[in-house]
Amino acid sequence: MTTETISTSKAGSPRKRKNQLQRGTVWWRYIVAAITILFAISPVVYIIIAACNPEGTLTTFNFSIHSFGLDNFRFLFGRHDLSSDVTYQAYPYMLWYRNSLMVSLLAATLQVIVATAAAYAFSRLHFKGRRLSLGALLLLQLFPSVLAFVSLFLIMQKIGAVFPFVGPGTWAGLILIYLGGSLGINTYLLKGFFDTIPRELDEAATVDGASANQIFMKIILPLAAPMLAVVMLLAFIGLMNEFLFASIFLTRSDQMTLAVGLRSLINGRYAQNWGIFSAGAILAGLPMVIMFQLLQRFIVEGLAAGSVKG
Amino acid sequence: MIGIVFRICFLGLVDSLAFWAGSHLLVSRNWLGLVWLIAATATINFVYISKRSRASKWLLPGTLLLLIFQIYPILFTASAAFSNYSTAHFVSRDEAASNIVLQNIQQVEGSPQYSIVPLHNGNNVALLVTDPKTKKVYLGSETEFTEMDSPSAPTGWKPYTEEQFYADAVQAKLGSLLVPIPEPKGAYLKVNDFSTAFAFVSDVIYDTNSEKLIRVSDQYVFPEREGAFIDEDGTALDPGWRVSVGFKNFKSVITDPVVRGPFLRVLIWTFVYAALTVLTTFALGLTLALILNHTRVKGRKYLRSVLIIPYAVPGFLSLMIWAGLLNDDFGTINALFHSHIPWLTDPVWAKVSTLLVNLWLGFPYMFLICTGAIQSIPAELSEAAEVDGAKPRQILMKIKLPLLLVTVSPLLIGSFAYSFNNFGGIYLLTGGGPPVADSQIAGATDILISYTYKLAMEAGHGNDYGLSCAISILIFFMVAGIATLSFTRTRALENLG
Repeated sequence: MTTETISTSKAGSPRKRKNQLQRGTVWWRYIVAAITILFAISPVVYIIIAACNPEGTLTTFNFSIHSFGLDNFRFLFGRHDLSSDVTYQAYPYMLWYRNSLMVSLLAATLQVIVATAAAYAFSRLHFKGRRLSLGALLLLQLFPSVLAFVSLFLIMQKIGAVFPFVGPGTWAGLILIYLGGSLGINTYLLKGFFDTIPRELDEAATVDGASANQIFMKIILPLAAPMLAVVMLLAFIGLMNEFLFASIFLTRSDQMTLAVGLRSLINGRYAQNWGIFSAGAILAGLPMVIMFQLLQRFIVEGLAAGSVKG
Repeated sequence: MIGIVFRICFLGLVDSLAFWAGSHLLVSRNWLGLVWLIAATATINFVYISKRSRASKWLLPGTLLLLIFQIYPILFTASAAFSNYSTAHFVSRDEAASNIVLQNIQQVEGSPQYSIVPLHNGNNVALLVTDPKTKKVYLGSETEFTEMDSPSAPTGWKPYTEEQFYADAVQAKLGSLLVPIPEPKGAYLKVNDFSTAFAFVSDVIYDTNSEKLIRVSDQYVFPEREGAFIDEDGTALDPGWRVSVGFKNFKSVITDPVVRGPFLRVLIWTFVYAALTVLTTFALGLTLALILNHTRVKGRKYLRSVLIIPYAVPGFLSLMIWAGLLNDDFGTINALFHSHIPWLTDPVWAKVSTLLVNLWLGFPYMFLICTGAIQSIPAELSEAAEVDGAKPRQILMKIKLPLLLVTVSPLLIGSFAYSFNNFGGIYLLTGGGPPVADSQIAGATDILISYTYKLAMEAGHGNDYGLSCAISILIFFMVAGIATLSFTRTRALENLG
């Protein structure tokens, strides 16, 4: 499937004619929209209320100006040194945030770099076993890395016994696992995109004496930059959402990502930590929601091309 | 020119890294690892020096990562699925034997008192031992017992002060330290207090010639069964070691009622969950897309922006939020409606909650792709049908829906495969619970992937990696089968279209 088939771009003239054709009452359509919107955003609204109510518990659903306060947020920004004060139960929320951003950004960037290189070879260079390895790459996608999580954990434990800096409990190890996990699908996506860049361009450059490196740097890369950004964005979103491997790998509180950390904050302690969790959830979710809204068009294109958000 | 400099720098970096890593592997005597490291380094050097292998320059980084982190784990999973790999069978046979030997040590009767000085060099601990008979001084560690020229600590080693000696961490290290000594045969020194140690010897020995584990006192030779030594009562000694058990794990899934019951229950729910999640999200998404994709509905852009909010919120957050909202005791939803519905603690309600929450999470995705698919259907088709006298319902059922299905069906299959293994969608909401009587491990909402996770990772019941990997292999065959089948079907559909 190509990206064009489902793109939501506004069509030209056919759309105008369609415009004149559509008839009928519309008020009930607004009612359906209103009900769905209520369903869609009530948990979000509720979380905002809970976060801004320091005395609030899970059951209170009141929002008055008297109960408004930002103590829950202050708690997150406050002391995050676990060792210095034992009685004051604080969580290193800011560290979790930083860890999540660092791990996801690094892994997404490296993923795109490695996948781009491989996709370029598959799209432009002729070598023995090209078709065969492409087929193998597709076949591998049937065995997603979630299925091999036990093996990956045991393997990393073994590697970690010799090289502790990539063993369990390290970012490097987690990033390596993330790298291997979605390499195939990204390579395939990018190869498909490189194929749409006209070959005449690099043929002309070859005639002018450009090397493979130069063609890649001067022709393919500039043309592919927007697509690379989309793939990287989707990879980044997916990694920010990743829970399984992060939870197996990162067990020390100061190393956790947001997903694992917030879970450790809330699991079994819904009653005590609900307000703080809500505040943390808003700070974690808001940038993602804003990014989603701004980049809606690109994300939808990426979705159509076959990526599924985690 | 810059290219060459860059290449030399890069290869220099790779080679020095490999050299450093190799020295680590050499120290830990990991020969297999060393062979792989040398092979990988040689390949990297060859590819980036040689002028011939043009394509492999681009492919090598990805290939290496794919080999280590995707293909090797798959092979590992496959081999573990045919083994008894688990907490009780984690080590090699030699390690298991020496572990059992050490479990059975007792103080040698009438052992003389050795005077010692506990030492450390940062990471390791050792003892400076004075033999009570010969008065010779030895340096004893876990692996060595060497005679010293002078009775002072060798360079690099520092003696512990008495205060340091009684710190918990040091006590833990020294308490478990066993220093092999030549006399009496097979004996170990064990720290008694800050300045003394006694000789200990095990009642059980491992005879390296016959490769048998023997109890000295009554010359009992331990028989072996499925990777464990067996004592007279027929109980397996802990630890055992990893051996191949053939199809045992797969067989137990089919024939052993203790495994089969929960497995079948989880399997059925996995299919129901994945299918209903795709169906409900698609139905809602499509309905919304059809209703709102009408040119006289104003502000469609803004409606869409609001409707995709559940999709834009990171999934792990939404799931944890819903887990709180549906909490039985103090959940908001029960409080709001003054109801007492056991959303997450009753097996049936927990399944309903799971489906509802996954509907909330997934419908915007379906709404987005359906909207896109409807807009990409050429208006001419509907117009032509209208000219021919077709009613709006007929246009919808006969033209729009079939075309739309052709476009989105691969995405629906992808969505099904995703839900099938959607670990977070279950685990973060219900934790797989509530518990069901037939199994200590599989809860009412557990799907296969969360079941394998619990089998392998959750403490309290011994981690069964072998069975977990066997189920992973079964999941692979199911998903692969469904994917292949449905892709051939959709291709047929496309041809019809």
